[in-house]
Amino acid sequence: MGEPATGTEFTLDTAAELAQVEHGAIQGRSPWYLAWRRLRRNYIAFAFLGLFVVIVLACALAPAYASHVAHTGPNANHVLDTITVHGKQVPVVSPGGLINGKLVPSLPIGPQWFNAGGRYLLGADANGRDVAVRLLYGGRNSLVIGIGSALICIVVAVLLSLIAGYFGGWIDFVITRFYDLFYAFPVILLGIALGSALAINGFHHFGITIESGSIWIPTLVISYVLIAYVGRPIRGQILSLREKEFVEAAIAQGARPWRIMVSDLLPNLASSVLVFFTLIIANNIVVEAALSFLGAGVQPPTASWGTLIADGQTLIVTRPWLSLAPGIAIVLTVLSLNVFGDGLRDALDPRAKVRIEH
Amino acid sequence: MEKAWHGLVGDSNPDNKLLSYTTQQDVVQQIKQGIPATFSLTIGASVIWLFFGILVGVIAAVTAGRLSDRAITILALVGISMPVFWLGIVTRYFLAEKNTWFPDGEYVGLTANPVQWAYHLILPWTVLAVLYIGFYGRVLRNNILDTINEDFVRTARAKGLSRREVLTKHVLRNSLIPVVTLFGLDFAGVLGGGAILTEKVFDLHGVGWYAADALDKFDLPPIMGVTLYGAGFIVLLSVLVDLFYAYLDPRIRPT
Amino acid sequence: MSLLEVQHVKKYFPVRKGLLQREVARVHAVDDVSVSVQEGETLGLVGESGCGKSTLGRTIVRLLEPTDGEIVFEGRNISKLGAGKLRPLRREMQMVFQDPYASLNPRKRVGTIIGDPLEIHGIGDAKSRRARVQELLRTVGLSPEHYNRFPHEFSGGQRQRIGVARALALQPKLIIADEPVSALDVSIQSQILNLLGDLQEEFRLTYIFIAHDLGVVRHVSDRIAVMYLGKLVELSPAEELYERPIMPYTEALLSAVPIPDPDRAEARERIVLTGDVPSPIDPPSGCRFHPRCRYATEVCKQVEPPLTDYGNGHLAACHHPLNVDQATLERVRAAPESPAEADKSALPVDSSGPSNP
Ligand SMILES: Nc1ncnc2c1ncn2[C@@H]1O[C@H](COP(=O)(O)OP(=O)(O)O)[C@@H](O)[C@H]1O
Ligand code: SF4
Ligand SMILES: [Mg+2]
Repeated sequence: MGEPATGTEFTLDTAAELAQVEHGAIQGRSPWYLAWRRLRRNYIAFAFLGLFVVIVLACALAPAYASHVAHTGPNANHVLDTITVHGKQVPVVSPGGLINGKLVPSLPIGPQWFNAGGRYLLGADANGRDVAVRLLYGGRNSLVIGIGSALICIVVAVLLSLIAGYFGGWIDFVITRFYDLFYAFPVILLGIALGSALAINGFHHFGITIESGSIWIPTLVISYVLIAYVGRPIRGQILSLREKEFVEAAIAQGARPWRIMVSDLLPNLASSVLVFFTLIIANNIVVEAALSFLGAGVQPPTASWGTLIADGQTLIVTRPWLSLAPGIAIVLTVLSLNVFGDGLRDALDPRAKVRIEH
Repeated sequence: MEKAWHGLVGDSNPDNKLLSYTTQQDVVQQIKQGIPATFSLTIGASVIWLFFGILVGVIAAVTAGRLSDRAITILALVGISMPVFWLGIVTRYFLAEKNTWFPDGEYVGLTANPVQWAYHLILPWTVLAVLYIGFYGRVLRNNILDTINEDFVRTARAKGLSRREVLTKHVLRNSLIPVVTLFGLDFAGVLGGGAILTEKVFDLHGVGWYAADALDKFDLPPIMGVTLYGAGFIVLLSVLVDLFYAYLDPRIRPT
Repeated sequence: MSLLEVQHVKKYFPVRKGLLQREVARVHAVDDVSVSVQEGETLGLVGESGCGKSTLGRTIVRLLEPTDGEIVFEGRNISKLGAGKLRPLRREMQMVFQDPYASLNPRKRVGTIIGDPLEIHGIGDAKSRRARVQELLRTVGLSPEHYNRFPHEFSGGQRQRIGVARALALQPKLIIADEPVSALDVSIQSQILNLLGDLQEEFRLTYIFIAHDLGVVRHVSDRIAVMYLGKLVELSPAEELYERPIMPYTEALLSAVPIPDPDRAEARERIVLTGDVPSPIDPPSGCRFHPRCRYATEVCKQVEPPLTDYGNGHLAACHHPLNVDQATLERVRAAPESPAEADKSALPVDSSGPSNP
């Protein structure tokens, strides 16, 4: 396959130059600081960053919520229990059966909001598990997988692209062909092919053992399938940085390749990597949800936003909140990251072009 | 791929056919059966997303900075932030189950009943298109704004061409080139099984649905088969995109 | 012994295409150039943009490996040395770049930019390096207070001073200045030129000064080399070149130099070079200048003119030399051919006549 034009035109610190024009000289202030000044005035981006932080904190506090408010764990079944609502005993899951000659399916309790003293805030699922608790625990997993896979993906992609872009020649050739290979598969299909194979057997190679139910599996699968999507544009940037005279100057001074990569190339990539990172987290949260929804991601009984939507799907008509709530959580999280990432890009590197794949 | 194929097929299979573990059906045959639904879904959705993506992108660009641009930008971000399968579940719930305005899933063949075919596909088409409309709208808007600032556009304006002429003849044409690449690859991806989520949610028995169904039973051969089928489409479409590029730009015509 | 001898240096860039990156053609960026540079002198290197000046400069400091030929620096052949063996030699030759924006890493503070070469070569400790950088800043006309600033806070001229300070940090013998003033306003240009001149006296520097026209190099160069499409076409002491150019290309370049004296400007004919510079991928046959030369004849298309010594260290490659008297012409034509060695000797020991009848 031919290499489509990447079109990564890299301008040296457009942001810094702009800030210069806007505010006049500020002595000794780094391009980072100037970009920060621009970002600081983008209230929308900050509002959404705030939203993301709130979501992260809420999910981080899942255990506290579970033990102090909901009084149950994320995987605890309460099919046969009852709770007190307005002084009345109500079963968590009303048993189905033949009632008045009609076959009625069993039905979990709906959202109680604050009527049950904080229990079953969003209702229960078919196993009588507290959905609000599972939403927070699931969010923890979704966020950990999203952020973790983004981190791994970026680190590997930057490393590969640095080596490819700096050394060029056959090394570059091999790495770009490796990237091309990924582009030949739809992300989700590659994800489920890998995810399902690993979900059955786990991973037991090279002295590394990952059990089949571990959330490391979706984390690694997602980072793996997206490496090329992050690596290719970064390589494009490195190639154009590589042509800059300051890199030649460093070579002419006798700097070693490693030093040039770390002290000349990486700092100039940092801003776009940061933008990428934000947007890739958002993307990976959606990919995780999709894989888990299909059954190739997080494995039951572990919760994630994707598995929650899947669990709720069968009860969508009678208990829509089971699926609505985790979906809304995903939309808010992903939207907040996308909006913030957009603002970050405008402030740092107005030219970085990022494509989200799912 | 050749090797993967033989690994999957195994030795016990004289016809060299890829068989499902659970049903022992021929995977290639099953994929073929899914093709009408998948093609119907993809082609219809791509028409929608291309049309609205371009419309939205152009509107945002010509009104850049104004209210409509901001609204489109935000809506586009919301669109790309929504998991397609969740959007599918929600629309199906509200429009086909809670209110029965639309049929509740399933595919009706085009030749069997064209009206029912379209009626059954309206929701899936729309749901699948939303994400791409958001994408293409954003990409096109930014492309147009970049192109407008280029020299040749200024020259065209200076030559006395009207704003409208410049926009359609020069700016739009140039800004659409990257969109064409995106479209070729996205179209291939969706055709190649990328619509698995939409098919699963709306019970459309296409190629993706077949993979999703196999996944429920952890039946690996269909999944591998569909993945390879998808790769085939993507490779094919990328070659076409390359040729299209060569056609647009004679400098990179293959030698 | 000369500080630097460039012998038959060629640099071809492969043009690759297709999935397997096959080499389909070669850019003849530098094609068999020989020249030597004496200690303490300034050699001006002039030619239209794209003729291979930067490539020659980069090859000399071994940012590029020559395709063929030898680069002898202080008597040592460095043309094939690997990165490790080159490293200590890097202290001896430095480069000043053309683009004041792209040549300074925007993420580094000025102090780091100038101090980096010292750190790379393990010179001094952090404190002494800092002192040295501040001294260098003063030397190039900046203030030690600029130590903590970022490049984006400086004007083009100031950035170029930073670039010069960085090149000076290792106390090199040879500095290749690749169009160091082309990107600057005319008013700033002379400041940088003066700075370079002062530094040369102070530190006994040897310069190769690259420029794309003959205007800038006039006052800074001892000798001038003119390149066209990868070839060295004329080499001469500076004054001599301006008085009597031999090669028609040089004549054309000279006619483009603005002359302050209106009378002389009036008298002079402005030779406008028509047509584009041909592609270095497939350079013209014979004399590479022939498609644009107003004196070109049939022989120019067929036979490549050798670089011929016309005396007083003035060499040129042309079948129809200008400004050469009959006696010199006859003497030159009598001599046997060996143009490559010619620029080493002052006398036309072994130059041959061009093959025109
Ligand atoms: N790294 C490279 N790869 C391929 N071609 C190059 C490279 N560097 C320079 N060239 C080509 O070599 C020729 C000479 O370039 P250069 O030395 O930069 O010219 P100058 O400095 O005289 O303007 C040009 O045609 C240029 O396109
Ligand atoms: S050799 Fe011929 S073409 Fe070349 S410069 Fe001399 S006269 Fe012109
Ligand atoms: Mg140059």
